[in-house]
Amino acid sequence: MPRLALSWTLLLALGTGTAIGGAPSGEFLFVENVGAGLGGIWGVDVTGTNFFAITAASGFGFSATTPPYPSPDIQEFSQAKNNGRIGFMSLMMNPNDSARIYVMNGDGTGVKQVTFHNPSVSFNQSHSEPSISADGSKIVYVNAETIAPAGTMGAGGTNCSGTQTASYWVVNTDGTNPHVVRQPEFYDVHCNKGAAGEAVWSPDGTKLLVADSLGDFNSPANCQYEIAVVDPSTGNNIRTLACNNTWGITQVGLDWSPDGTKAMALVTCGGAGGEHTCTQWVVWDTSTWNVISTIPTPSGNDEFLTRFSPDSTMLGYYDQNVSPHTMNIMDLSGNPISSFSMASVNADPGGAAGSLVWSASTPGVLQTFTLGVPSIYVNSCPNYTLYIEPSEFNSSGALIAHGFTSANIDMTSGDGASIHVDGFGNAYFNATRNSGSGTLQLSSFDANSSTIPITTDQNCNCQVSTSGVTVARGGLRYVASSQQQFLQTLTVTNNSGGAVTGPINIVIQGLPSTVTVTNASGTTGCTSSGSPFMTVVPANGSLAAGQSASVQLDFRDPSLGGFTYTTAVTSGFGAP
Amino acid sequence: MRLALFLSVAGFGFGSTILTLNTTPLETSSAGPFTLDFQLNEGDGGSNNYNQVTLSNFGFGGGSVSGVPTSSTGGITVTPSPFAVLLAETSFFNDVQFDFTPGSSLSFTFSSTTNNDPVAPDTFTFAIYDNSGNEIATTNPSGFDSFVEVDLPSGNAGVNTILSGSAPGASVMLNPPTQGSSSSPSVPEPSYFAAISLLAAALVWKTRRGPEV
Repeated sequence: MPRLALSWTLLLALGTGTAIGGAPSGEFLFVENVGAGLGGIWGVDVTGTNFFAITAASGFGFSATTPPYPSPDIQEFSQAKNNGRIGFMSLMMNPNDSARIYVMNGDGTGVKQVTFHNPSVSFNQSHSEPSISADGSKIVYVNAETIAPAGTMGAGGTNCSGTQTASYWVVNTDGTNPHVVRQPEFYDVHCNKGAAGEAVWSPDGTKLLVADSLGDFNSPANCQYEIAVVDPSTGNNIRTLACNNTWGITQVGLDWSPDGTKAMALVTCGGAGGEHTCTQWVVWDTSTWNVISTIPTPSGNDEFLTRFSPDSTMLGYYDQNVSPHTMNIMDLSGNPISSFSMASVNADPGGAAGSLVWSASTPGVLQTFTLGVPSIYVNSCPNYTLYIEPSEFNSSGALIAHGFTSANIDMTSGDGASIHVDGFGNAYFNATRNSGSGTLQLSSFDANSSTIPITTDQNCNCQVSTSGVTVARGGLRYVASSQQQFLQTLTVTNNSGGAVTGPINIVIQGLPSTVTVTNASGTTGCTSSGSPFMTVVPANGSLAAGQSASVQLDFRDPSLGGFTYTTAVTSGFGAP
Repeated sequence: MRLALFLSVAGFGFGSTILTLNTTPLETSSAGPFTLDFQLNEGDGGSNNYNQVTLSNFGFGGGSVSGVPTSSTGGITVTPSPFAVLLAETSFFNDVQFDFTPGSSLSFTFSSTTNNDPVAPDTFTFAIYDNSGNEIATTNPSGFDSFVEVDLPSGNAGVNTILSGSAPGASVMLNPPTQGSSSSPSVPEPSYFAAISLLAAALVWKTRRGPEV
């Protein structure tokens, strides 16, 4: 499937979602239950009137576009308060792996994997509980594939080095710099230890609010189960807000108000050394860490997924202990404000710890933007498929490109040829006339692009094999900091005696099916059709005689077993 | 004279080299604990066992290394005393890691065979992991985040050594390693043993013939 990467400028403005006259506003996002308690992300406005889907439950564009969806996918998610990016945990995105963390835009486009399996661990375990920072630049998550460092000692001098733990990690949302921030400190004589539970960011990204069992169970206070404030740069516990010596801890009610002035957690109570007998919401003032209010939950010893309102004045929680299940809004003293039934949808936001968001956005007005206008070329070979790249963000969370992989794309061409874009961004071109030119127009969320020049080629031109151009390969290294991939540099040298006009592409041929090039420019339509290729010299460039150009390849080889391939160099007008 | 020429034809290994890294900044760094990572990969993506690398004469400047690897994949042989590591290309990916307590410096003697991989260079790299489980970022131009990269011969290219220091913003700032020559013998290749055997046989044959008249 050849890809055409489109890049354009997009200015993003989010709705404020500010409550007017104290009335709730915005929307709740939750996981739609497709039978296993898991599914895609759905939304509903705060009145409970308008339900809508943000993502399909499986495959993101390669499955059903309307419910019911065939298989579950997203299990837990969170949303950046400043720009709507969503970080989520999915198991079925890769059925051969445990759950990993992904990111996507607020409209469900631009899905990208950001965490990967650690092949050094003994047991393949999940990454879970993703909490994305307010600016969308980083995600804190629980990594059950953490290895206890050398020198980790348990009670009585037991050497617990190398044992596997569940610890807090932080990764940039572009997938770079995954690193551990807090891991178990206290081990018993059998190397038993606590585990990370859930963490949420302060709005300024300088602190984490955590609920876990990493506390000191050896101390007289037995505060293994803790609600604490942690410095993400050091992993140090800044302040313990609550602890108890009962069994277990609830993780589902944990949030930091969007204005940063308050923190909230669902805290267990009762039990006196046994299993806890009640739960209560506790709200703290983050300037003094004094308790503002303590609110008993309505159903005693139960968990309630709870979030602050966008204006930080209310709490919304999901009650699955009543029939039908309800979404409830109350003030910070526990006084009810409104409630609506979730009976009209098969919602299950209580099924996972991190699967409820109170977003400031309003359904139907997710965002507005202005489009830049690229010029694109479409090769109309039979069965040739144009794939529009998903949206991309930089490491600060700013949108840098948008592929319009939403359901609202509208394309028309001027020569009678047709372009169909399905609901999830796959575009199919059918040529009905000879080569010609025309325009296409893109639209999404009520904003239309200017018309975009489009050139179609009924003759199915392919790039030619480029003689006199050689490819030299560098060595390979497995680089942990590069998302555990093998990196290799390829250098193209023009020995033809004359200049070669771009685009110049290197086609990677014969790669085993288990190995992927994760940073490929696209997939070929002509030379070894379906093979990945890398563009070394762009369309507006050239390679002078004797000149060289290099490109780095990122290979993902999960088996570490090695791989062979051959290369071909193509250049000129047409598809690689 | 004949012997020297013969050994040259047989392809003696890459001259033994002492590599020394100033690790003083690691001693007080909060990015620890640290892990040493040595890696040798097949350039052609297979496991042809073209080359091998020996690391010996380790010095830790008052620091230490665990004698038992925390991770070992492929053709790895570790000799605990004196500490030495052999990486042989019995697999595509050959990697060994050790827990490392830094001292003022880390040094070792590198030697290798130099058989030519016609597809791409067999590559040895040395990197240090910090407590995030990732390499300390370096200025290595290949993107390897390694302090030492040695590309063994491939095609018309000979041995290429790249020594790098920490990249700006890395968890710990280290200068590039320094490189010096060593008098220690390099790793003999199978062809070298064959050459020695042939030489010995020739000497025996010549002795049995007696002095020429």
